[in-house]
Amino acid sequence: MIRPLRIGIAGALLSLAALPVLAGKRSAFPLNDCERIGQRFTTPRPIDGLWVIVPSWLDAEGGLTLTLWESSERKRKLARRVFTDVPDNARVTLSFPKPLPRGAYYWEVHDRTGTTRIGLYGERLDEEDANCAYFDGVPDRELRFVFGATPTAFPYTDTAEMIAVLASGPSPAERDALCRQLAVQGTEEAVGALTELLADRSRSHMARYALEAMPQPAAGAALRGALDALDGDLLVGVVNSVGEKADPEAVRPLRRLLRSKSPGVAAAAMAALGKIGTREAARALLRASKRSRTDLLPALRWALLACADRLAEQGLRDDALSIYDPLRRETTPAPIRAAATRGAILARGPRGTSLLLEQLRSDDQATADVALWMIQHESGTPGMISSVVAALPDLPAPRRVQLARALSFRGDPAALPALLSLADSGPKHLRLVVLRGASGFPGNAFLPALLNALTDPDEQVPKTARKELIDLPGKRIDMELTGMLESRDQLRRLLAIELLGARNVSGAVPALLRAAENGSPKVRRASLKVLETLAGEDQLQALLDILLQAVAAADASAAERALRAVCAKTRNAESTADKLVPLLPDASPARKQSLLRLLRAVGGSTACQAVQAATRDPDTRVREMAVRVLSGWRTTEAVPHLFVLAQRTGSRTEKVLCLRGIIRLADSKEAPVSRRLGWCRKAAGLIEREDEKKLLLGTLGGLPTPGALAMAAPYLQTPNTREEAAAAILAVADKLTQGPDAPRAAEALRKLLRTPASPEAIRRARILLARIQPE
Amino acid sequence: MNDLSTHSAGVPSPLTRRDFLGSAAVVAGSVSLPWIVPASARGADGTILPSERITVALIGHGLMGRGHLHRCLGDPAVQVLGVCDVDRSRREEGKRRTDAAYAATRSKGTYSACVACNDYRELLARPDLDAVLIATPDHWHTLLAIDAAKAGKDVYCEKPVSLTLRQGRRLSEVMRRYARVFQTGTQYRSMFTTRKVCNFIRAGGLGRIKQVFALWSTVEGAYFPLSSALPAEPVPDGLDWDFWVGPAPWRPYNKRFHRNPPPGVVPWAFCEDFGAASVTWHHSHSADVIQYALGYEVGGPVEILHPSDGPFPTLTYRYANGTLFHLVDHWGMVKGTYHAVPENAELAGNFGGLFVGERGWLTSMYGGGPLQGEPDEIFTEMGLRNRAVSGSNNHHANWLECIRTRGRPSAYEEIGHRSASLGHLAIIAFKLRRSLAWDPVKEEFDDAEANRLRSRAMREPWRL
Repeated sequence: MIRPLRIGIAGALLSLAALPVLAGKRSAFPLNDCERIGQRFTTPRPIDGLWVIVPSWLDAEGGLTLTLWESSERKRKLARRVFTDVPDNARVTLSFPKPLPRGAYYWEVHDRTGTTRIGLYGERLDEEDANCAYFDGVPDRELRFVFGATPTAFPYTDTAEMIAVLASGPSPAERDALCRQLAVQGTEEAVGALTELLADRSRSHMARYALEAMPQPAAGAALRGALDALDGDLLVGVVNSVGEKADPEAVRPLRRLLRSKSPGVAAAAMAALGKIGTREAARALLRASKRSRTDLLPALRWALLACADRLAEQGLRDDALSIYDPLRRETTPAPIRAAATRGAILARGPRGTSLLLEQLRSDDQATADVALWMIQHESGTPGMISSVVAALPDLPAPRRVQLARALSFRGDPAALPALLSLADSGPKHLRLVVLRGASGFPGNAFLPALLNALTDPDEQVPKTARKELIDLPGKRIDMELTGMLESRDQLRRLLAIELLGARNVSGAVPALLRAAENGSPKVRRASLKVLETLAGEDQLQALLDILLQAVAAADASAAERALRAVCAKTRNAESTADKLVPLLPDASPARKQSLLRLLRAVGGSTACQAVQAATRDPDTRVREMAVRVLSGWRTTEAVPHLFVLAQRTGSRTEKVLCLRGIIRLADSKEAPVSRRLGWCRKAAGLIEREDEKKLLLGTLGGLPTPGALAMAAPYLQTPNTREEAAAAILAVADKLTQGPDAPRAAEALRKLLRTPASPEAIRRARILLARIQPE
Repeated sequence: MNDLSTHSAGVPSPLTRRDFLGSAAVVAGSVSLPWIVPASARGADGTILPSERITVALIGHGLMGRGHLHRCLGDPAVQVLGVCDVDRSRREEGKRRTDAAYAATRSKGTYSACVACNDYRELLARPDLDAVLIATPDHWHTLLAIDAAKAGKDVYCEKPVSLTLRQGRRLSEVMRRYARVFQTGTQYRSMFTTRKVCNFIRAGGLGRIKQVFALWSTVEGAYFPLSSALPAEPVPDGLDWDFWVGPAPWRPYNKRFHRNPPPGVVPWAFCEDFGAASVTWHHSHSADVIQYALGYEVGGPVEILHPSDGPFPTLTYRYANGTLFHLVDHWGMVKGTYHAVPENAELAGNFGGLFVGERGWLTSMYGGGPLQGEPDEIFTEMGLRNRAVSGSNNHHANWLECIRTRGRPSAYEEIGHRSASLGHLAIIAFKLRRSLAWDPVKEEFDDAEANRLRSRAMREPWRL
């Protein structure tokens, strides 16, 4: 058995990922019919492996050998691998001992093992190709097997080979490939050759590409050496590489470059010294700050900040502070000041808290933003948050809101008592902020506060609490809300019901049922409303009991809605109907009507027959409801019953309902077209009113069969149904123009053209006719 | 020491917008305050005060950039000040769209203040700009984000946020250094169903997660982006190709990288100098969602097991807690190769993953229909009324809110770095064709060659 091959090209929007070999019509070719089957191919780039997809014809797993040859003459074997226990449609991969250069090759599968048929997928080519499939050495130039070759990232064997190629005057593309591989695998021997390229405008970058990545000291020395030999952008590039290597030995030459007349070079030297981040580098930068040109100030500040961060990482906090603090002056551009302030707070360790508080208390929002950012992004030092919380009451109101929000986002336990206090008794705007941040704290710490807030007289507070309680995860909230259902306070019970519904807590269903059984009218109806979503088949009987015992119409209606939802999601219609049908005989007329509506929601033959039986109920209201339910039945099993009823009934209304039900079901794709057409024919004989005739014509338009044309045509003669008949004929004819029934369609269209139909219908009929009978 | 606090002339002045508005108000108050201030400017008609709007600029007006611009133009709390693109037709189109959108909301019916520029540094120099959205080819992402941070701007950056492991680390460092608000463009994590799935798994809803699966696509047979040369073609009029290439190795123009109309969402991504293939296409999203669910969103795996020497048929990450994350070519492999879910499981879509835990399995993909999983109860436990997956999300809104509060966005810089890193780890293992051990704390391999693949030199004069 060949199972369908699933080649999912992920990210279909990414067309480049598609493999060309997977296109076209594919068939499976068993290896069993030959000794060996293979494929010649040409690769445009170096490869280090190839793969084939192996179908089998049974569930058993088979085996084969995949061999790569230099050519189809099979004189030189390049790689081989034996595969066993290969499952159906597996992709088997042959990796080569070393990458192969671009060119033509030949692979084969052979030496089948196991009991199953096993082979390859192939696809027919549009034209002959030398890169084609082979069967026992004989080419089939119009077939290609499905396979893929995997390009290699590293085509060269070793540094010696790469140096030799580099010396041979390679193309720019080859040279780039060499530098990429040298970056990863190059040894010290390559440094000399790469250094020579640094001064070449078109090759300098790729030389650095290799040298910057090479960890050997010689590579670093080569870049340092070039600092004296280059200028302009090429020097900038080398300085950048020296900076990326964070080479401490480069501080001295870089220091010299700080005085370069070229702003680009001086700025690059600053950046490099910042990345090196030693005390010596810092000294060089600070010295430069005494004489730096104003146009270099941004670069200098950025470099100093980077350098200070490096110093702080090394534990050299005082050195870092000697950079951060001067940069915190008020006149410093705000982004630099913010960065320096952050650094200064962190570098001070526990003493940094006072600086943090200073920022928080600032009148300047940009200054305070640094503190707010740090509270939300930095872990900080022990005691930091406690100090911040202590400062909260003394802050101006807008800042208190910002801080409360930031502390909520952080979710630090140290802030919890203060925030809980605010949530309970703070000013309204703070309460709202804190309640909205409840999710920042783990373990439902805010649950009591949120539950408390639900009954707050200010409507915004419970609204906020409700939203949070809906979104907060955790079973404890579910349990608390379920517990609230037992409250004596009706408002709390109602809130619990609403939240349990919004949270979709299926575990609360038993408690909700109890509330629906014994709660106040409001609680009952609210519970039943939520049960519409949460209740399942297990609750069917309990809900039926509530329905049958309901006294107030509103209660019955609520119970019926919940039951309808349960019935609609039943997985076993017959079994559910078996539970409803026995209740019908003893039910009151009103409850019978409910049960009939429920049976419609259930569907299935048992339910349908029970409803049909109810059409003979002695009670008029029940009988009418049964007719309505049957005429609104969702599946075609109701059609025979509807015909019987339509023919039997003396009520014009019931007859209309039945016919409308039949016409609607005749539009359903559930039954074959021929049967649906038959229903239409039979219904046509019973229809008296024009409204139903028009509905029937609408349904006929959806039946792509000449019979529908024949049925619709007579209605062209009556002015009141002409347009509907024309529309039906046009719709059907449109679907038949290309098939064997085209002459019948043409005949109907010609009939249409002979009537005074609307100009639009005439125009469309002519178009269709021309399509069938081109002039 | 000179006074480093003075502003310099001729270079981007890192003045904040609030500074600017403050000083502008002083000037206006002294000489030019209009006699009657329009109600809209005061916010009396329900509009948002200009000073309360977040001012943004878009860098890169390609297919993704268009989406970002659309989002911002439809947000009354956002004002788009400029559009930058090195392709003249694209930036001018961006300006036209912006001006037209704002003109439609003004009583005068005109607006022309959106700036269109070729060089992003012109935008970063504007003191009235709060934030930038970066939707350029990948090789510019880190550099632009870092330059924006240094200029005091907050950043929304398309994924992957980096092209190398070092770039991502540097990005994360600089965002923290300058206390910026950064959002990674991995918006799938902000979809309702994805959050539900991730939080459910993270809270242990599926029990211990044994396996995770995500798709990995190839480029012309390779599991890593290619570096092969393409023929030089004439540079289209209005395209600044040298700027387009920017910090990447020089390549002559070829229309497979860039053309109008754009040839696909991220056409350049197949080329390793400009993109990261599968990482750019979808893996950054999958990595983000999966590491979020696993609780490793600011960490990473400890091993990358290559099929050539590892125990699994496809490349697999192993996390310290034992969870295995398999990359598969197509969803059929989850059933046919790994036998991890029942044969009748309907697996489709992308930008997420498939989780197999002690209790069952669950998908978090987008674009492949509803969520799938077993047992059925897990969907009720997740609080889901149905399994439909909608693409609507609050990713931008979360970023904008954090700009106001200085909070931490849902996919902040470290998360963006770690989700991009996961893809880079795979690419390195694919390139070297061997398994690697990885220290996610030190961000080091146990393999010298792999460590050398952690960074790349930028073309002069660019640097991070």
